[in-house]
Amino acid sequence: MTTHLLDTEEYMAHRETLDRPDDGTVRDAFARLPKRGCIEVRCRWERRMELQRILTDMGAFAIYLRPLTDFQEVQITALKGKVGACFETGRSATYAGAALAVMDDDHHLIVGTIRVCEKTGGLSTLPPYHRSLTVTEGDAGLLERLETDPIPFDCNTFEPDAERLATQAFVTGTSKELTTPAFYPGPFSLMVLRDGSLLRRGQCTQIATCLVKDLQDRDGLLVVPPLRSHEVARPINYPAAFKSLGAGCLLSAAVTTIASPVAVLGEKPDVPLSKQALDVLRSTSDALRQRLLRVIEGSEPYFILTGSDPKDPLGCCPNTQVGEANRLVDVGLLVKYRESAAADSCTTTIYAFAGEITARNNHPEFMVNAANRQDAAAVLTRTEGRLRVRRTVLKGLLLLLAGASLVIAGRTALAPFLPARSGFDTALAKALNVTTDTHRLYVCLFHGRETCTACETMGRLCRQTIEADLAPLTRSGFLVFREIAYDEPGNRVIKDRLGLYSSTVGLVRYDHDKPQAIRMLTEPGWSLWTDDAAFVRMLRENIQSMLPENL
Amino acid sequence: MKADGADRYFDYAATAPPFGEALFAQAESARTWFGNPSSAHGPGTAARTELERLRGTLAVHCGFSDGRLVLMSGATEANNWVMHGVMNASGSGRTLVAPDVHASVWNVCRHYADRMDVLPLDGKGRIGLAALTAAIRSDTRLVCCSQVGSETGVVQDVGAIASVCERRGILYHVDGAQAIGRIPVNLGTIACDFYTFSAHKFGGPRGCGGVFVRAPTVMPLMDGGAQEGGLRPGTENLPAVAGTAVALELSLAVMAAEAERLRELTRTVLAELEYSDTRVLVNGDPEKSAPGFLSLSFAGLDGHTLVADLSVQGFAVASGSACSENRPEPSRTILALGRSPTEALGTVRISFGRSNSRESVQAFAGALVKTVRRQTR
Repeated sequence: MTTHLLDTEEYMAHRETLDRPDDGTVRDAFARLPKRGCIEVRCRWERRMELQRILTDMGAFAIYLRPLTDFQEVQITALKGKVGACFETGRSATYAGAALAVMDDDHHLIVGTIRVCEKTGGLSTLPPYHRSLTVTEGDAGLLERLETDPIPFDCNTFEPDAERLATQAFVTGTSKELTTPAFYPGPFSLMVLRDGSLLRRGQCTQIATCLVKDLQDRDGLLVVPPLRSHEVARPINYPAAFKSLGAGCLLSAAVTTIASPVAVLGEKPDVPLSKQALDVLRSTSDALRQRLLRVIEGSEPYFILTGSDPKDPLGCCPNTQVGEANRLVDVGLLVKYRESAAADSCTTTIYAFAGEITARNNHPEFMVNAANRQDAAAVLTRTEGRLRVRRTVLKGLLLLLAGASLVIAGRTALAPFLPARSGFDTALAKALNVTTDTHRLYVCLFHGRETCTACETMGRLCRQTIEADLAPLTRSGFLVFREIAYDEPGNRVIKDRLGLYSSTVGLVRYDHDKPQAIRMLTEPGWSLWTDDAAFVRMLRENIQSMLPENL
Repeated sequence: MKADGADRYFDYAATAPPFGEALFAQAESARTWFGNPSSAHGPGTAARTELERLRGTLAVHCGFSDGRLVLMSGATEANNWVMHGVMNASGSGRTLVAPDVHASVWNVCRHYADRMDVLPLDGKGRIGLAALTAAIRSDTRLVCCSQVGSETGVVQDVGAIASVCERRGILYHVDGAQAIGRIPVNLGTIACDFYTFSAHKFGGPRGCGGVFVRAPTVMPLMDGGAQEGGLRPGTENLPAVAGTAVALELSLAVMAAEAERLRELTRTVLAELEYSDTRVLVNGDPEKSAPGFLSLSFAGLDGHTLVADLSVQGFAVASGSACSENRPEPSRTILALGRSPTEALGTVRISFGRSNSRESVQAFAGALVKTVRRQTR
């Protein structure tokens, strides 16, 4: 008999993928998985620690947090399937990374080489650990005994291991040493560095610059971008923490020097509305915008939507407004108080502006936060104002230029703005290779210098959409796909004007040599790029809504 | 015997007297969380929140975090749900079942008799891993056993059995009705797919139990609403769940201290039987079984008659598994230990619990010896 190799396929075959779920959805999805499986959760950056905690509590392991869109979002991947008894088969695991020690999600503190039970040995051979763990095979005789009279293995060596680690010789630095903001994505729950710094998965921590390169190469450490610099905490010194708290300092996530900036009910979010939030708000449907304005103008404390997010495969009565409102929750503009999970009734959700609900004794209490609403109203009314102005202009033009009314009407309905000829127009026209007689709809993939899997996928799906689903328009030359590298010197003005910070799909409609309408699909693009069918459907619908009436 | 004669009640394996605190919690819950957990209004939402809190409490106390706890009316329903569900879903796959399982498992298996195999037990009632390995066939889909045998109290090494099943990709169902609240249970170390329990076995209310599920979804047995994730329709019995949670907490709080005391009570009975030179066969190994269990066979006597005679004297014991005690056949559990039918028919099960004192057990031991002598004549 040989060591039982865990079947990686078994973990990957059962996979749940969630996009910006609430806590309950994550719990349900994880519980629904069979004994072995994998869960992938995409969420806002601010939600990562809470979701990580939920997954850890439910027994997930090998949790890995991949920052997306320049650390504005995170994709959390975790495995399920580590329960079972611990039996001795003579296996050992060796950590070969650049830190001094690592701790997994079962509280195995691995300092150099440790003995592990058959189960842990098997789990340690899974791909997330390949980079930094090597595991020995079990002893043939002991493996045979698993089938007859297995020898129990005492995995409970956490405290002595923690004590042993505290007595290691740590490299001491100087207070003037250069530091770098670092992010440890996993798969271990924490690392203890050679200078004693304790680095927890998912947190941004300042570490000695001299340690960074090795940790990047051997443990997948990431450097935190300036956008997140305000979250970077000074590290805990493990020997000192052990001296005052004992081994418990490794277990308590509360032992940190920074609080997670996640907004909670009753508190005003301490982050201003992000560009992403503004984008989402701008792309919100008229119906929801009107509803939000009614809430603001009438000083109403909340509004209620019935139905479920169309993205929720288990939800009843899909309601696109619920989906839109949930996106606004994701970006921190709204909060939702209570989502009914009643067995046979339709889901009802109460939405309010962020920071305006507190829950007491299972009853919501509302407190209007004027400042918060002003921010939202400013965005909403600017959009509304532009539409009103445009409608007035349209009426005048219709009177004066009856012959040109069709064109103007099309422009008015489609264009979110009509910019004057500018450096932006010139740059965009150049990037798209627009000629003076151009009458086209460009499907654009804006990306940085380097392309990632996501933008390559988006590009493929864009091409697929226009070449297959909308082939007649493409063959006629009306629909064109273009890639624009926004970091190229000539395209910087495009990047600034459109607020590009990550790969983004956009639709640009030209009539003659003027851009008549630009629609950025940042949020839906990033939400759906892992779901081919949904992405193609979204893009096709957006393209169709921007077609002139005569097509 | 008066109904409140808890001191002379030695049938805890059938059901345990409820904790007063559990009954209080049940009543309080019924008053406070009166809403239907499926309703979308305030009282309904409050009841649902409370139900989920209690579900979490039960799971935590059993070391269970990575699956679903489906609440039902008890272990009988839960066992039926698992067995029918798996057998219906597994085509021609076979089930391998221990002979000492509860009737709610065994009788379901008999519906699928042509796909049922029976595991051999050793002389002490234990499942040997070598025997298990040998009994598993290529088309075995499910292995099923009790963690604590309901007649002898034998404790199976379910962690090791789970490992064997897991290595072969076979589903594993554990009936934990006699285990939870009596011995430490940490489902984090038992890689089973289903684990069932009943609240009234550890001092909780009747009509409440459930199954911890890690396996893919099993179809519900009944049609109805979408409660319990669509797996078990019917309005959730929140007050009973509240009582269950309290009973489990109390059981766990006293478990370690009770274990040694209950073992001492079983030794008292065995010592009396030995001193009186009564001819008796002890089934299983009381020193290694769950605390408080004693299964005794008196060859040539009738177990039912012994039970009735002791009942007249005020002592409550059972002649076998409680749910099958009216059946004239010898217990299959006792037969599986290698006893003859004659020996098996003369079996009584004594199961002690928190309300039994040393004095009452000494009185019972004396009465048992006298009763056996009288019936032997």
